[in-house]
Amino acid sequence: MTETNNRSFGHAVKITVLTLIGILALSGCAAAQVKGLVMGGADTLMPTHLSMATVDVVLDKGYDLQQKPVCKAADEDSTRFTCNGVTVDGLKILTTAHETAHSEADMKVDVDGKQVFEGTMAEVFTRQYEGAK
Amino acid sequence: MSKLTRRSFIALTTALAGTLAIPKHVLGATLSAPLKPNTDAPTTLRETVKLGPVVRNKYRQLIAGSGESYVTRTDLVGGKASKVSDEQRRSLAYLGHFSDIHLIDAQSPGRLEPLAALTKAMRDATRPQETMTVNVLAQMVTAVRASMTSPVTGAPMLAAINTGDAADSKGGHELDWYIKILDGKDVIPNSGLDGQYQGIQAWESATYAYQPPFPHLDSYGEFGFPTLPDMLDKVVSQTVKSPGLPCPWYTTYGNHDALFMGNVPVQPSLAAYATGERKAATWQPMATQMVDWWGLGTSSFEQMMLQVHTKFSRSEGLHTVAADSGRTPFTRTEFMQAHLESPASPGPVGHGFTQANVDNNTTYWEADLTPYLRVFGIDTCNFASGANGSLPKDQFDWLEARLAETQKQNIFALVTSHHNSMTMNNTAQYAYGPQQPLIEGDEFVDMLKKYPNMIAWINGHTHMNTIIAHPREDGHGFWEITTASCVDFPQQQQVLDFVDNRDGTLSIFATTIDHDSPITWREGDYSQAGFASLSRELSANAMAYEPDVLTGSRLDRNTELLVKAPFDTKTISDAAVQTVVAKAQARLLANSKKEV
Repeated sequence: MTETNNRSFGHAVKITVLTLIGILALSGCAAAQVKGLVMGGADTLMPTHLSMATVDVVLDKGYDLQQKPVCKAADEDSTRFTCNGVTVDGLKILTTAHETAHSEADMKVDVDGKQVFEGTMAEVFTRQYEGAK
Repeated sequence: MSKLTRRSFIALTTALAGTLAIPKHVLGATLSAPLKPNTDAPTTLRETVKLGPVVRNKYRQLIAGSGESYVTRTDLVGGKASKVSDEQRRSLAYLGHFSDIHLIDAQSPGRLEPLAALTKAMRDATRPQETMTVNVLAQMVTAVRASMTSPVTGAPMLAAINTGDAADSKGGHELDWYIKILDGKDVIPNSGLDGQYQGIQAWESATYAYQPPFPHLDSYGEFGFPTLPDMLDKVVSQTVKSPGLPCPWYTTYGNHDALFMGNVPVQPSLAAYATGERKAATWQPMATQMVDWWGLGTSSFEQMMLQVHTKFSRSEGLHTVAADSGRTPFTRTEFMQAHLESPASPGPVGHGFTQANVDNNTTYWEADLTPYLRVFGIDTCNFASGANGSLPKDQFDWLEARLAETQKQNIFALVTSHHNSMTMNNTAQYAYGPQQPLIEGDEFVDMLKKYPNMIAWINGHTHMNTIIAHPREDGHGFWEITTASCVDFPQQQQVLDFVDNRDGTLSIFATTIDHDSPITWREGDYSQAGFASLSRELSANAMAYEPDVLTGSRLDRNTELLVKAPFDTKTISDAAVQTVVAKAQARLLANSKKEV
């Protein structure tokens, strides 16, 4: 049986309010009863994702790493990141990145001052998932 | 370092054969054979899973890729790794690491999948592969069982540890299925009506979800997800057979075990909704139901009127399903009690939890896996609200005191928890009632670094293979090892071999494992392994549908992780290691009789 979904705007607003009340009912907590709530962890993972992407780029270029690159945001709310690492031969790895959307970023990777990659983080990961052609 | 004498070896063999009812000549032959790396173990050293050709629109098959060899990581010790011969090394402990299994009772009214349509933060309220989680776990157990000896040293598995989120929605069936599959019992992954799926994947109005019978109605169909008319009824009708784990297994507590949908505390109203006979396909009637349940009083008359109203209301998008009391959300005490009631073999009784935990309503534990390795299972869940975690101060103090003690005794420590250092940032507290400080990831890491005998912290939560070095200035430090999940692509778990290199360093070999099912799903294959294979294919395409990064880099998968030995390992005699190995081998032999 096909159900239709053509409601008026006013009805939609009412339902939205009901939903929010319902979610609060579920949680058993009004906002005033819980302090410091963090719902998810995605916002904390961009540095980890960038570090992983840098590793894959650098390994693909034939360098071995002494340490996994450490990535940090320029400041707490920044969408700009830098990653620093070093190869086993002591060459410096530097990634600069700009977060553009959820789990996505434009990035440049330099080894010993030479750019070895420019593109998106998704390109790096997609290449990793791809099977042999 | 002294080895077992011939006389000691015979006495040990005789004692183990008697205790475990194994013919002495069979056990003797096993124990006297030299350990050999398990090259047959179905790990990603041999083969990997990759995205294959597009078969419809953007939907892709999976294909086999080449294996991935170990990458040696020297982040903690600096320099290049020195050459160590296989003969020089000895395994101190070989462990299995499960995490984020997320068994899903996909038909429970308590799932509230319509939340996925409201906010991206709740997108995991429904997944295309959500009906097949039991099949995946059984096939993962099969793969880990085939890896009961180490691919590096041949050492037998001492224990498997699940670092949380056994259940997805805190449902009673989900907990029951988890324990049964690890213990090797049969499960029909169904609730409500026998042999028929009743849920959002079969309701046309739930257009936010993948609907296998008619995907052309949702955006998954546009992406190219397959049309599978009979799949849902078949998966809830078929018995899943598990070989079980032949080694002891342990559980730590995860936010999906602790909180409803991993985020909010369970209220009586939700419990009633979960076990009732009405389930919402869309968020509008779901919200109305929630308000109804919440707003009414508790008198018998009001409750009766509510039941009548719920039963006979005809709200658009609200469906009648078979009620099932087995869907009742479990409490923390019930979670631990269920573990205590699981069979003593392979055990251990309580799987980490003890009667004292039940009595005190505490969910953290410790266990000595060997005379020289102590494991701590801590509870990082925030019971006020929120998916991420932190560590209450009393537990933090308890752990620190225990780590100091193991350090004095030259015992290695391994900490296990659900949350990792990236996600221990939730300090939500109830504004009223007793409170204590909640410790975040950075402070927790600093405390762990004070104890060099704490060589590894294993965890989960982010469903992503991740390995982080936490160095100290003096060259010591520890490895934080996070494994992927059973529910989201790549659906991998891992095995860990803790090896003494006898040169002042230890190596932790981390090896990822795919579940034992065909890499490429053959259309119409609804066997147990076929469902697991289909689940992986759907999860891979779901990842492409909403891109995410869960496989990790090569430095997060098959790796040799070097760490400085925290004490002179000569204090651990070869005889002690041989005795541990012999006991584990005998246990595996005794528990490996069951074949599926």
